[in-house]
Amino acid sequence: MNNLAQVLLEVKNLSVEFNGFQALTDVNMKIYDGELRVIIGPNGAGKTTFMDLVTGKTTPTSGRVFFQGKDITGKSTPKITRYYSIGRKFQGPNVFDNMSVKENIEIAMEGYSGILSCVFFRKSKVFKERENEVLKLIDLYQCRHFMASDLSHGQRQWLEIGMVVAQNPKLIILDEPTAGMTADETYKTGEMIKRLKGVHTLIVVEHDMDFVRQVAEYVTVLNYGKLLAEGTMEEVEQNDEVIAVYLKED
Amino acid sequence: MNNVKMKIIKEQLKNIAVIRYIDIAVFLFLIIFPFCSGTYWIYVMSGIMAFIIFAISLDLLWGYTGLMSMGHSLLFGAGGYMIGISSAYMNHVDWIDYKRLPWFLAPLSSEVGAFVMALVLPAFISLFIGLFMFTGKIKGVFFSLITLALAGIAELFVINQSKYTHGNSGITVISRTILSNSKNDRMSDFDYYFVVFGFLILIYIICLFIVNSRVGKVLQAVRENEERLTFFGFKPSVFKLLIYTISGMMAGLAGVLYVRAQGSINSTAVGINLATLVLIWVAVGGRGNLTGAMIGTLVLQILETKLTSTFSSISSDFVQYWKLVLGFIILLIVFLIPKGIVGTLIDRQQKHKDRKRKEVILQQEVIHHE
Amino acid sequence: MNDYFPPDFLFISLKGMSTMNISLILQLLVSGICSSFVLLLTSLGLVIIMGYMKVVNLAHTEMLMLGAFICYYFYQVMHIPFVLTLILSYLICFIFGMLVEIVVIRHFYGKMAETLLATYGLSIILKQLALIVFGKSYKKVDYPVEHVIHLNTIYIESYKLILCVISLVALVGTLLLINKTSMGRKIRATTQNRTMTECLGIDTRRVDTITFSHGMGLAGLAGAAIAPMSTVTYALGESWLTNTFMNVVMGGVSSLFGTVASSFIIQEGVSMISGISNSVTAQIVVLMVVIVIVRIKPEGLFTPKGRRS
Repeated sequence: MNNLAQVLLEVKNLSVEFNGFQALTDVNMKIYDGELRVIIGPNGAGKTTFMDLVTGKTTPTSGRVFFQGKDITGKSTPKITRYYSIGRKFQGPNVFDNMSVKENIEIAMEGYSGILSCVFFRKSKVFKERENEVLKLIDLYQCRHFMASDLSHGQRQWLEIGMVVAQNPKLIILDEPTAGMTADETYKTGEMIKRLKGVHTLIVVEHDMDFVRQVAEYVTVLNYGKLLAEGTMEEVEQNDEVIAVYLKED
Repeated sequence: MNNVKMKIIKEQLKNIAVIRYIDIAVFLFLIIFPFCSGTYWIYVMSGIMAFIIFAISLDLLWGYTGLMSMGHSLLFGAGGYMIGISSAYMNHVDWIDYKRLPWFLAPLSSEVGAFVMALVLPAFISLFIGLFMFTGKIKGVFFSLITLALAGIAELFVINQSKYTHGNSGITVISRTILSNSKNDRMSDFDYYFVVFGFLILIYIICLFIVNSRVGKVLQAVRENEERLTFFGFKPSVFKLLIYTISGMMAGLAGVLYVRAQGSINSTAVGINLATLVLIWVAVGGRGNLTGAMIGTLVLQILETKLTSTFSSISSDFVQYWKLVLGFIILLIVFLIPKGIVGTLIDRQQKHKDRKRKEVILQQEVIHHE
Repeated sequence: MNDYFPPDFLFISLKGMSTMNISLILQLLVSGICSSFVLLLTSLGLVIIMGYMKVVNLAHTEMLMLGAFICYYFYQVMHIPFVLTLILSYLICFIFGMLVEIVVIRHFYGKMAETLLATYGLSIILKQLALIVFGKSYKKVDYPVEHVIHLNTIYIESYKLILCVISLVALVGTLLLINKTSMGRKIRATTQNRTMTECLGIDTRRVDTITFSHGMGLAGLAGAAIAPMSTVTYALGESWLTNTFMNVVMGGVSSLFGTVASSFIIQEGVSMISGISNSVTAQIVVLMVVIVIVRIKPEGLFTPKGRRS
């Protein structure tokens, strides 16, 4: 791993428990600036919980979350997303169905989430350009006037990715972005994500191994709330414990 | 050059939603109305226009932001009672026993003060209620039930405070102007009608501005998926607070206009009956598009007045039958056109537009593949 | 006392407080307990429907009105024994509830605004029909028992005691139904996991109908029970609307025990405060406090916290 790069996100001894159920135990992880990290693991491994903790949806029972060196443990979601700049794409497509594609991107666009900036908002040329840029990245420029509810499943996933990109966060967390997509759509999504690399730091949570191979540089494996293994895709694929966990699934 | 400009204008006109044309039609109707009606109907329609403003204020809150307030009459009546108390006090009406107004009602000793209070008090109340509820994650049904309870409490309170409000009997307000309490100032029905109409246009334009702005889009996003919004850095409670305050102030204004049109106010103006009635108007007309609130209120109130006056010769209690019919109308609407009259229209128009667009894109793809 | 001090809408005067003595306090306490049971009885049907079916039944208080009219016609006019009237009231409203569930309610499960509007439409229809058919005059229902019990200086009307008993019977009966019968098991299963319950071969639609009808039946029963102490008129439901709903919300919509506790808190509060002020102010103050409590604990006083906060 490139030791000269800055650590963007770090979690230390992160644990969380819900009514007796231990969702995460003592997880330590470092995500570097500009990296594309993929997190894999069987269902119930704690991947979604991990994302909830980082984005402020849940508070950990113990441990800390640091973003750019600052402690963001337990802070509220709006604060984390706006002030600290972390964006999240949810598992099902989670968009605003009552608005058009274009309007969805506009809502998400960075810099205009405060009440005052909304009240005195004027659509600038830069804004329009950025909007079109994002629409073209996710291949929805043609459908920009469609209602989000009228898009296909795969298109809705792209829309949500586009919204997170429009938000322009330093860290983008994608939760199973290819869920429910066809093979073609999955490949297209992979290419989209590779184009985002470098501009943003990405954490991608995934199940689809082909997709993971397409995009991954460095992989973290979670199992039963604990960190099982970390390494490049080849290293992880040859790790005995990982094989045991995944073969056991079959 | 002119041809290009014409083309652009034509494109923009096409993009204006059909409902705005309906709005224009409604306003034209309202302008022409007093010229072909007797004083009774002009007087009635002034009250109905005040109700339209009230319904629009609820639509901002419910239709756009998804906050179903079942006690919006609290704000309407608060505005109305400011005028009522002020008028009673300044005219030294016979039932008044007190010599001075309490300090927090001091502005009511002047007409301008009363008008200002009638806007400020409801805004303040909704700000307070909003702060109380939105910071505590009170959502959905709880918001509705608590606002319902508040309207119930308000009705009790108003009757209880009969020293200032004359309890069940209500207050009679003689002066029909906006800024005067003198018995001698009484605009004709005709003139006052256009005062109310002027306010209606003003409120409508303000609302149009709000709903088409970024704030309006954020509010609709709050309605659709509030939690998702927080992940884009928004604080939904701040936006909810803003719209609730604005909505409260508009409801208060409607109350003012209504009291002056009707000439009286009583505890039903703050109570549950009116609160649920306005919900019905908006539900029947269609929520989330301003037009529905106008149409729903107009249709139902005109029907009620027309049918009551027609059948009052047959049965003096026709209102009972009308309310029964209203109950069935709501059921019908909920079953058949849950989005309301205008809502269903918009739905069809949207589906039509999307179908056409999809056809175009499909055609392009087919050509592309060949 | 001049017009500026204190905000005289509170009507709480030092003078009032000093006339309180032990016997008055005890009297208020005891009548508060009786009123608590009455509030519990009138809220029971709502708890069932809101708690187990997540349906906000705005027609609930009109069922109280319906039950009261049934009591008038069966007990007062036709001289059918009081207890039998109560049972008949339950049955009639149960059957009516079945009709309503099948025709109206079941189409809107999960759709909150539609359910609210539909049940409100229903309540208007019921109220207006009552007004048209029965007119505006108040119907008077005689007390089934006139006896007043004296304990030292405390008065308790026997009728109020009977109401407490009825309330307890309704509560215990419902608890037994939910916890000890097979139908109760089905209701609990449907509430917790509908899909799974259907996979087990249980007709959840029938369960829904029965649950809703039970709630409506209880409301009818309550209405009949309170008829002697109420003004039986088309507007009877209105006066119970705010109290029953706030009671259920504060107790925790899905907690029967919570509603019991909540009824006591509300009615004892009203009773005690009306001792130093008037009853309307007491209502207002208590309801405001309830709203504050609901704000602090929206899940209700006695609802356990869910799996994820």
